[in-house]
Amino acid sequence: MADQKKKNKLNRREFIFNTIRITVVLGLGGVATFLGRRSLTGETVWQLDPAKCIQCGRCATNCVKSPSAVKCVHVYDICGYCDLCGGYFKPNTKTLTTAAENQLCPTNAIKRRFVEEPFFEYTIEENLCIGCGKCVKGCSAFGNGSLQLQVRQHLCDNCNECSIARHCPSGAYSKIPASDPYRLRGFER
Amino acid sequence: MILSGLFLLSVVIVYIIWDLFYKGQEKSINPYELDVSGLKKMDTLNPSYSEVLQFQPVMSIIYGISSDRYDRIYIGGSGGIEVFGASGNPVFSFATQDTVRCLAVDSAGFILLGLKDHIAIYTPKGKLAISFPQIDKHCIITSIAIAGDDIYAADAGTKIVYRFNRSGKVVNKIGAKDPAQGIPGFIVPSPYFDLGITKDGSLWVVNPGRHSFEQYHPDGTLITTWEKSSTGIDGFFGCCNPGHFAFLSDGNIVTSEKGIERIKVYDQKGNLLHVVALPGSFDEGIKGLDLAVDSRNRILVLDPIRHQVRIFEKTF
Repeated sequence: MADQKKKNKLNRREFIFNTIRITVVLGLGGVATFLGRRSLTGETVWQLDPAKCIQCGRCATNCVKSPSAVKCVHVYDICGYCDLCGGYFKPNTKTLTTAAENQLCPTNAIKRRFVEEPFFEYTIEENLCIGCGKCVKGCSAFGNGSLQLQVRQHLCDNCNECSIARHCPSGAYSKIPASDPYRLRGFER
Repeated sequence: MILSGLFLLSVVIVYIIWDLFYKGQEKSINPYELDVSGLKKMDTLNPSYSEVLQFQPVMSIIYGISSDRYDRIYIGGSGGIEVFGASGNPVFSFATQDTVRCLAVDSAGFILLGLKDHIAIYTPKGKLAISFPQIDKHCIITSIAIAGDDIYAADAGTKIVYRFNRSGKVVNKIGAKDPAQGIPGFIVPSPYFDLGITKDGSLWVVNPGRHSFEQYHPDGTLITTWEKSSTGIDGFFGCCNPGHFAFLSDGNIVTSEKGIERIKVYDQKGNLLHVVALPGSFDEGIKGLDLAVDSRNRILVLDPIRHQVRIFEKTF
């Protein structure tokens, strides 16, 4: 009888150890399956295509993040470094100075820096940019199109249904592979 | 009682419909949207020219236009050269190995072609006469003109005007920045860099980043310059304007612009004389409206979006 009890005790211990073993194996298997599926199917992120973007301003107002996860990105490779920059100055600006009333950007997010006569460099301060695309429209209409809107992936929540994509009138938003998360024309510095 | 209930119900339904379908339209007006259409509204201006003829070249991509002394119209592009009569009837065509970016025809009918990084001269019958060596590995020839034995080519890559002789030798370079000589240097942010020769043989070059015209002596001495930066009708605005120009027989300058799409005529001092066509005449965002003028002072416009040659004549 006592032997039987001892045997039962051992079985219980074995049962607990077996349970732990099975749990660890299942856990590892689950993690492996998850990672495997992710690598096979590919994680995707939201991004907008600058070629389709019409700079309607909805990226600033329809993102669930505040300010928007969409920012202006400057592709320096195709910038003309112009003094009279269509993305920086309001169209009817009389003098080409950095005075606030001359600037197109509503948040003063573009910095203008003199390089050499008559070239100027324009840099985006991302923490100030609200993604309205005013500068992008000015640059596209009157310049080389070096200012482009992009979803900044480190700021984006990657919602299942992107609120901006739902309101985008030109269908510029789509899911693209996370391994190649930007759609810039030219190259970003 | 029932009637008033139905009335209230119908009011509620009407409100829901308004809220769902009409209120949303008011919301769609976005305060952050930049409206540039105001810059292109020029209703009060009346162009002095009207469009009298259009015709379509066959080749898929068109880049350059020129005319000869018989008013034949030469179109250069992806396939080579297509030649049309003054009324748009096809005359002949020939293929080139490279895409033709710009062209000019001399008084003897020889056809000079800018082929990205080099120049080639074809006989009036379309046979290759001579091909110049590559100018520079960064070269992008955007305009070509001829004055006697001098051939001028505008290179948007190196931002210089090259002067060649007929055998392809570089005689001198024109327009390099030289503050001591008062030469500001060409600013060419994108490949729109045009030049032209007047009837008296003087060279004019657009400095597109400065919205200016510069006149040079063949040896590279700057003779004069004028500049017009403005969103108004009398100036040029945006990056690289005017994109193209051509001379009328009296030496006045026909200009075409991108951004605010329009064609105008200036005198050689920069005074606006006529408006040829306003933004409403072109598709929005059009670039590369190359120009030529024939012996009757008709303005020939190459429209790469509509894929047409469009001809404008002065009406008053």
